[in-house]
Amino acid sequence: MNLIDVSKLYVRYGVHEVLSDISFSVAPGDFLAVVGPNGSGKTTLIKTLVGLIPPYSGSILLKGVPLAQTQGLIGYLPQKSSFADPRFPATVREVVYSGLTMKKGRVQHSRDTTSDTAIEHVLRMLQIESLVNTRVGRLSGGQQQRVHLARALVGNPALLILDEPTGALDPHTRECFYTTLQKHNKELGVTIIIVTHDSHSIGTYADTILFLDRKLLFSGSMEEFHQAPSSGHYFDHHHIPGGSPC
Amino acid sequence: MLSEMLQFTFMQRALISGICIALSSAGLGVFLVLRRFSMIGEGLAHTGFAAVAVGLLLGVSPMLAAIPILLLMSLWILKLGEKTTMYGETAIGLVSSLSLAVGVLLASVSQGFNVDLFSYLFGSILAISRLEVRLSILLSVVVLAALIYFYHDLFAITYDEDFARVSGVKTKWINKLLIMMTALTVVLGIRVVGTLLISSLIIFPAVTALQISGGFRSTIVIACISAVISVITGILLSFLLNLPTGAAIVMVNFVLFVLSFTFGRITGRS
Repeated sequence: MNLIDVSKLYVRYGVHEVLSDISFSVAPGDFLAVVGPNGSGKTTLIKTLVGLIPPYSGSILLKGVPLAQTQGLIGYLPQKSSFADPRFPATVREVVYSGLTMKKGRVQHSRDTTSDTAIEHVLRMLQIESLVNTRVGRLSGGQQQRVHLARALVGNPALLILDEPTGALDPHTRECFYTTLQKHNKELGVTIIIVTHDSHSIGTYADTILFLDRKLLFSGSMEEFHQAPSSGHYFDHHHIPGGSPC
Repeated sequence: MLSEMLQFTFMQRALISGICIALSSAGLGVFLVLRRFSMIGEGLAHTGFAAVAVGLLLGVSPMLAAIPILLLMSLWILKLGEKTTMYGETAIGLVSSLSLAVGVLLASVSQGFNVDLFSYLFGSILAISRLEVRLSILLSVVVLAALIYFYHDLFAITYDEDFARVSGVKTKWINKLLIMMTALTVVLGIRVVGTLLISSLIIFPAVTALQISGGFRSTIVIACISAVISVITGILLSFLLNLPTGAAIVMVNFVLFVLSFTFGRITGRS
């Protein structure tokens, strides 16, 4: 069974149609990159997938169940998550803790050993365990990105959705970030959907690609994409060189 | 001297009510300030002025009259912001100026209660009744219990509302709860510092704590301590120096803010 099935999805802002007739599936364990020019509806698609924007019509099924009826399956890393307000008084532990949810839609209430272990585990995995009591606003962009990734991963989601997560990162930090994602994808089987303009990393890490321009222009493997006439040599125009290996 | 003051029933009542409002407003204030909602206290306070006028006109306890009116108006502010193209602060401005106008109109048609209304503008905690003390305790227990029970949900929507929604937090419900708790806190504050100064009890302790705190939980604890110190010191100064209590509390709050700001600057926290 597919992890996600999107069928005939239309999204409108008022009378303005932003996405039309989008259908695609994502298999468990996929690393899917969503690409397209600015204003092509990538962020709208992501926000619809996570339930922040209601579709005008069409369906989104997660493990065969309508999106609205699912809980705790998705880990989400929003755009600009490497720009925490430096004045906001939250420690790394407090932010990561907010990623733990209960089935009834409330954040887990009592701090217990299980949640502490989950937080320590995910921070260790992302190599930021020493920052646990540091205020998030005092961290660098790359460190903040890892904290927010930890928040998305701490609940052990089956699916991780990231919206342009590396825009503010330098090449080296970006490379490290992708390496971490790949580790979660390959070793832990977390399915990943990422919106990015970073063509170098897409080519290196993603298995499949979704090319959008308000409608779906291409959906398939990376090799097929390079040969597809609809790609319009997308990568030739959007090449961003990668940094040194992580 | 202190034990002598505490012999007076009106001082005991003032201190109990003052501590109740201090804890509720400081706890809520941290969430409101960080969500850029702090002006909602100001807007609801103006609505409180109209509610007091309604209470005096109908001959019922102004605090009792204010509870349903402020709860309804707080939800209306939220709805205006959500359902129209209006910005949140515009909705607050609209409701608050409308409420002030209603209050002034009611006061002008009923000349008899103008003096009473004045006492609610600037507070008169030293003249608080037994019923109002009981109401203060009850309302603050409700607000503090809700704050503690929904602490993690409130933190989640304050830090990142989109993420909280995706995680399954019922953000609309939590927003409603936050604004309704603010309405109850404003009702509490009407008697203590008055409708004109109540927003200071929400804003000052939070910004004082933000200058020196580390994490979120410690911010709330520091805000509560700062608010309780301000209220107790303000009431005592008011008694000793014959000052208006509401204004004395606000001035102590300001002094604490300056101290914490300076400390934050020196230690590099601010």
